[in-house]
Amino acid sequence: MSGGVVLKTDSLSVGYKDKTVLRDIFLTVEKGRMICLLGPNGAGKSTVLHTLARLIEPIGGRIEMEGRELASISVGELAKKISVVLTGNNLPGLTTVRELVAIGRSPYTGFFGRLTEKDEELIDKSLHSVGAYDLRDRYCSELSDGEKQKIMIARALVQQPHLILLDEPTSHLDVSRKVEVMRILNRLAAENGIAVVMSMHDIDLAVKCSDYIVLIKNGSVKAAGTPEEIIKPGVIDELYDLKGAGYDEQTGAVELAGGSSRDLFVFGRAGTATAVMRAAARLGFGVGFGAAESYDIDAHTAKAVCIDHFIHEHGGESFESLYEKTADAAIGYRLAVDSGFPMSDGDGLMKAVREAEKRGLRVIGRQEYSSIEELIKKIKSQ
Amino acid sequence: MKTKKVRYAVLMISGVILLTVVFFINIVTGSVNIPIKDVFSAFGSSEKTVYDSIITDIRLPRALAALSGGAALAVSGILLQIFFSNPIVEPYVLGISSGASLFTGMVLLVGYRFGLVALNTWGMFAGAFVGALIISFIVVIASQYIKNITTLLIIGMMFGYVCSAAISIMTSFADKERLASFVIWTMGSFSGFRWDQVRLMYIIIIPLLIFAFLLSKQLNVMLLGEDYARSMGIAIKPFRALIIGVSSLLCAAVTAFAGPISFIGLAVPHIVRLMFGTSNNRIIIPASCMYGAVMSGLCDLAARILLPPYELPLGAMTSVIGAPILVFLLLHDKGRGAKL
Repeated sequence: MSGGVVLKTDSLSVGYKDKTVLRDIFLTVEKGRMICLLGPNGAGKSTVLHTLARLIEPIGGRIEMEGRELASISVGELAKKISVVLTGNNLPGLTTVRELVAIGRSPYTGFFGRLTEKDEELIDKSLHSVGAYDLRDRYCSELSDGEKQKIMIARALVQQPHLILLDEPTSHLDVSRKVEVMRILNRLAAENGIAVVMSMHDIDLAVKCSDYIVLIKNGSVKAAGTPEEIIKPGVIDELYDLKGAGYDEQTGAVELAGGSSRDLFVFGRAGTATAVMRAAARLGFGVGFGAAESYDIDAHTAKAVCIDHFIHEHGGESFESLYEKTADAAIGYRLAVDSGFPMSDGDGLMKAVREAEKRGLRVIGRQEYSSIEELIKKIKSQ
Repeated sequence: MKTKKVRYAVLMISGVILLTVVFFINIVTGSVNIPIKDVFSAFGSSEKTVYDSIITDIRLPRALAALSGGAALAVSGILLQIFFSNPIVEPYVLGISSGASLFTGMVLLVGYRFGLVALNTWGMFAGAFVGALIISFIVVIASQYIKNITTLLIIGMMFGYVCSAAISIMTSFADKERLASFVIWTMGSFSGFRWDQVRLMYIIIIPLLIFAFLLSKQLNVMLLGEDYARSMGIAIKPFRALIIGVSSLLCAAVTAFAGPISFIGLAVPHIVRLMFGTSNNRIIIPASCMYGAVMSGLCDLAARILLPPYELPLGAMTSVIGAPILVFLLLHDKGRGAKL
């Protein structure tokens, strides 16, 4: 093993027969690292994983596994180095969890597949490490999707691989199962030193759980690097062609953008306006926002959702002029709402609200509605 | 774990007992009932009885053929079910049996017209094997392009119909005297088995059954599908060829002499999986051999004794006995799923 590099690709092109799906992949997978392939459906993430697992042959370029050409390694030997968890867990019927995980030992067992004591221990250990030991005597067909995913990871684990390749390991799972699966993978990488390469849809989880991200789109690798290097403003919007929505790189949230006509201006700060802006955008209203500090959650939401937003940048223009602009912009809207922001005596933002009202803007006060639902009704009726 | 092993042991021992019982019933019952003590005297004892020739010339070869045929078809079914990762395939459904019948029919009828008076046992088997392989390959090649299993089954059935049509066309040219026996053969029957045929069946079937059992580790890995199997170190291409080769040979060895027999290859593996509560082929293959033999022996018995002196088609028996058992087991499966 050269310097902990498990797998390395050099100008790799992948695809099927006469169709190249993705070209020029340079990837270095180190021991104990989590690498995530991110990109829209059909970008070729799955094809890359299948190629790395040698389930399909590469179209061009090189793949090296621990310093040796992948194609030169026999399937039997490779099974002890790389294991896979694929999509579509169509597990065999009438097979218990333990029997299924035991199948993962087959690269090591003898001709008849008889399990030694060491094999049994490893099976128990990997069931424990994915938290599925209690399921061991259940039939696979009785399990939930999340449980199935966990035992497929346990099965991959008993192959004692240096590298696990997972195709969409979190799709079809609910949020808590997703987090659980990612935690398991994180731990395997950190504690067992297994390298993990996976494809994912969840931008948010990918950013938080992986060491390295590869962005794939339109047949090529758009960017690769640590999450911090990769996830810059607009990158994700462009990657997924997010239309009518925006991705906030810092909060990891996808926000639906509002309409384009100036319908509702939301006065707020300190997180009071976010729910109102989201609700209005969801209904297709064009939304405006003012005014908050750049680190305010409302500022993040507003950037993704609003037509106009007034946000105070540190070292930028003064609050006075920002509030003035807020009031000026607000009167261009059909309606405004006070989101009930916290304030001090002589608050500048409150002054802006009053100013806008004076200039003829209808502002729905915080005391006029008790829930977002009620507010929405009010907005619709006006 | 413990209770499971006890269950396996009980079911295996029951299988052996059932197999022995069915074997003897097949020998003693029929148009002439034979006392069991005379059965034993037929083997080796110096004092010959009137039953000797019934036993050694008719019933024994027939019983032996029925038992081995059932085992072969059941294992052939298991192999195909794993190959296509689909629970409802078997040699008959995929048209492989029909292919074997067609080619055997050609050897039988065409060969006869060209003066091959003495039927060559090996020739019949070779014909059946070529037929089985041709249809297998067509279905396998089709399966590369058609991922939808329903379409694949329809293709298999269509080939089955084409083969059946060809067989019925051939019967028009057949010699009148031989027609009746040929028609019975196309409906599936263990009647009239000769010793040389039985010998050939056993020479082919027994080693293949052992061989299939030796493949059980790889077959278990295949339960997860080809991609997983490959990632666990199975060389898929040669293994696929091996599965198809073995299942075609098994199917051909039966079909060549007994004609196409439906349902055993489909029902027995399922019944055994559900009884044993596992898909582990190290258990399922030997168990299917035994229970396949039992089922085939019982069906053959029923075909002979239900409406004497008429001999009913074996295919009708296998369906009538097999289908309700399968439906019952599926209904009482408590959602564990009979899928592979």
